[in-house]
Amino acid sequence: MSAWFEIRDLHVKVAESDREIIKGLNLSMNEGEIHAIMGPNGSGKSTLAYTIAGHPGYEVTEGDILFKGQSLLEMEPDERSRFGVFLAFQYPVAISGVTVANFLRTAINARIKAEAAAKNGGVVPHDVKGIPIPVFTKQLREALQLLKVDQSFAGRYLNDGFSGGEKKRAEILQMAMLKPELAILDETDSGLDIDALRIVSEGVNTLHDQNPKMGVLVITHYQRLLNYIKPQYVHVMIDGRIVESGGPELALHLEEKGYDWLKEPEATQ
Amino acid sequence: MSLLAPMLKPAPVVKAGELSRELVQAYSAALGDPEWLADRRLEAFRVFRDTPAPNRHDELWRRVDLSLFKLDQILAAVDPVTNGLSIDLRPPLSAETLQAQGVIFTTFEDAARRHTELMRRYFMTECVKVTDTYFAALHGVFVHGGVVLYVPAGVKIEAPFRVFTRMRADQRTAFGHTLVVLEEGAQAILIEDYATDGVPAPDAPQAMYNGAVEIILHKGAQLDYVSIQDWARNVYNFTTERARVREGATLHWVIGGLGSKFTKSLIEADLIEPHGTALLSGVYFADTRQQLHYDTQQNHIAPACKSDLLYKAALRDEARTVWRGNIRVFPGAQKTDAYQANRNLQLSKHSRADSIPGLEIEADDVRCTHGSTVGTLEEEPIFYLRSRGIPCNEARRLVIEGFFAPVIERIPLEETRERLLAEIAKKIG
Repeated sequence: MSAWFEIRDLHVKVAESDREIIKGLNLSMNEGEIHAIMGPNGSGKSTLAYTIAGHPGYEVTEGDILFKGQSLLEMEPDERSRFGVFLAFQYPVAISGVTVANFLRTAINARIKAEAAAKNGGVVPHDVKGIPIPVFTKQLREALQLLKVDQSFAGRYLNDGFSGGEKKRAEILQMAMLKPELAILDETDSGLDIDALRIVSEGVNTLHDQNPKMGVLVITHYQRLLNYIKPQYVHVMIDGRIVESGGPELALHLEEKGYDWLKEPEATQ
Repeated sequence: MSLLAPMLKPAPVVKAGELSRELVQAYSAALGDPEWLADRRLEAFRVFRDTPAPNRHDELWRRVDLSLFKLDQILAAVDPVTNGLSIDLRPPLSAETLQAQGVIFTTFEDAARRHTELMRRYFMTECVKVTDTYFAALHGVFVHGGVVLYVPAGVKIEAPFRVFTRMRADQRTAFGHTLVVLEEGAQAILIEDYATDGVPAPDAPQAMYNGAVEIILHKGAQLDYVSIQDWARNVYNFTTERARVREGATLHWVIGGLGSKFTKSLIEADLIEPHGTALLSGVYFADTRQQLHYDTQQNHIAPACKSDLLYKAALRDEARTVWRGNIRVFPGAQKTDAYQANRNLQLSKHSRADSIPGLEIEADDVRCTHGSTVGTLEEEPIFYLRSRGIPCNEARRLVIEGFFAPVIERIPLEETRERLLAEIAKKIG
């Protein structure tokens, strides 16, 4: 029996190379919990986030990632998303020529089609309809309000020419629209000023309040995001492994002492 | 020596069969041409007879492989009865309303008979000329079918004039002509849709469309012109298209290239008086073994004009596209502002896109820039979209549509935008 979300002895290398980045990582989360993974640069945090989402640039050589009893490793990246996993990217990708609204509608309709196909022996029925435009428009308007962005945002090309803050808001906007069960926030605080950080964090907190069953995995280098999104558990990742786990006080301790006290035993081994 | 021999005496790219003056006269008689047009055909024939067939020494035809093209066989099949086009004209207003304003929107034949003065003045006189190229001359000989739009001074029509031009699936030749004249301060939108009715049999013989487009914009006129080409895959498509832009006039010109086995389109904007603007856009998508060639020319003849070209292509399978663009700034055309860009998205490694920008600048106070790129579909955007639950094929479709979007958005009619997007989606598969 696996936990709601569980990473077991995960080993990950860069695809088509021998460079191992994650070296036997274990983690488990229950439904609705907020966990934080903290670690210095180069510890493998972003690789972990990408691996959970199924980035083709990384290859799992050992171990497993289980979500709701199923292995994510057997799923394509889009299947993982429809299965409830959402990654807020550290560096969201610009999709030139595709508006935020068009993109979101396509993503929502992909879910509707996949659900219809699942009930129809794997084939998308011809009469399947996408989300009704008025319903979509209303949801989008609410999500835009939540992130305190102008309605015209919906008509802009996705992440194309967005400021750092706009990109991060767009990530949480997507999260609001796609309603994941497990949200992974990869360095969502990087590049944000204090106001944007507050808006983005409040957005995440509101979504968690609306759906208390949603699990959140916050990946961050700095403690400051955790002043806004409060985790129950904090894990420290160094050199591809979780080396320490604890409660929220661990984050404060790291803020004060840095990561070196955790690295030292590693170095003496 | 033997290796050099073929270079010294290049073989023609195409071979025309035996065309004779008598044949042209018979063709003219069968169509019941008015006299002026019959004369023009004979004049075109004289030029055609003296124009050498394209060969690969000619820069215009250097990248073109037409070794399988059987022009002589096709020309042997030219028949005034069967080479007519089906032209469906959809005016934006009632015939009476348009007539009351002096607007002419009619077929080429009707204009040739009823609007002789207009036709004698503009038809292949100042815009496309029979002396331009081999195919322009041939077009002058056999022109049959097409559309004429004339908008008098000061008349502004906001809704689009639309034309649906169809070749039959078994048709071997067609020679459509488009003539647009906008008088001073006139405004119009013209959207042309070229396609084959039905699907030719897989072993259908080669067919040829040899068309011409002439656009004349007088002082301060404004035209949005869109043409979408979706011929069947047995059609060799040759077009000569030119716009003459006078003082302060504005042309927005969008071409869409989807069909044909082979296309060679010469597209030219002549800015002949100051303060004219030409915005030239192209979106084309070649698949299977299609070859789409576009030769664009932005001629800044007068000072203080602006031209901006953006042609975007996608290619898959073993398709080939060639864009050869030239900005020419004539002596004295100071304060020219000209830009050209060609972007190619290669979706398969066996496809090939050639992008050849060119600048010929003979004035010193100008701003001319160009850019051309050939790229492949990047992995990161696809992964990003997939991470939102969008399946791989749809993610690819979104990215490719997004690539074309800045051009497609320049089309002033939603129905046409949708049609183009739907055809692009079909091509992506």
